Amino acid sequence: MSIFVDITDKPLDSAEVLNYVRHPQAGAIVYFGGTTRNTFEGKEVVSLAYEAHPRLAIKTLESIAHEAKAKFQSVHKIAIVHRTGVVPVATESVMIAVSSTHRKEGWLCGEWVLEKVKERAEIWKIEKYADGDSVYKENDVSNVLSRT
Amino acid sequence: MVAVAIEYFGPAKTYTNGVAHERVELTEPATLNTLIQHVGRSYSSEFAQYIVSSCGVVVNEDYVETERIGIEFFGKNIALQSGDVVGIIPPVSSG
Repeated sequence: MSIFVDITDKPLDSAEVLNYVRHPQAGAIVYFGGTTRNTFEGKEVVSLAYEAHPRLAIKTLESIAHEAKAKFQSVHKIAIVHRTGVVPVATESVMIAVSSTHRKEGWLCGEWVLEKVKERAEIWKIEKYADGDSVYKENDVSNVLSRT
Repeated sequence: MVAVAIEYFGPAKTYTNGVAHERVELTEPATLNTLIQHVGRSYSSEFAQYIVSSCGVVVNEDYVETERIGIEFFGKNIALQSGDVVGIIPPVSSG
């Protein structure tokens, strides 16, 4: 297998995804870590949590990774992991790692994968603010109406 | 009667006072539309509108690909049978 995806309520481990994608024919490993911010439009975020439809989200991450492999031919391995539950501020909620023969396709693939994750993965973020408010977020690029 | 389960995720639960799943009994013939009408009566017509205009719908974990007009789904694959599990998938905020 050349893809690894996971949804977990445990802290994410960047060494694990980097080691997973390591490959003898790869000249590059590109890594993205999405970390949680402590403010939103000037409001202080006191806590932040993600929930998922675990089976659908795993299926979606798998199909994104397979599509990426087909689209970026010099990519060897892809890892996509997303955390659920309460995620402390300044901590990774998502990690993507890609190994590729040449760096350019690795960068492009990593960016493409992230965009697709933000568009499709069945995961929702709720932010709780210092003023007592809490709000479910919505990605600008979200698309849940069609999978075709 | 047709007994189905419905699951609400993420922001959909702001319309259901936090209820994440429930069992619903519908008269035959049951479709996604009769289910959404039921949900609209149980909670609010705003919720029914939100589902049809903004949310993905999965039946037994497969997305229903159907046209939507007003507060109704059109096309095939909208009939429901006893035991079906319908998931309401609001716009996502992964990442």
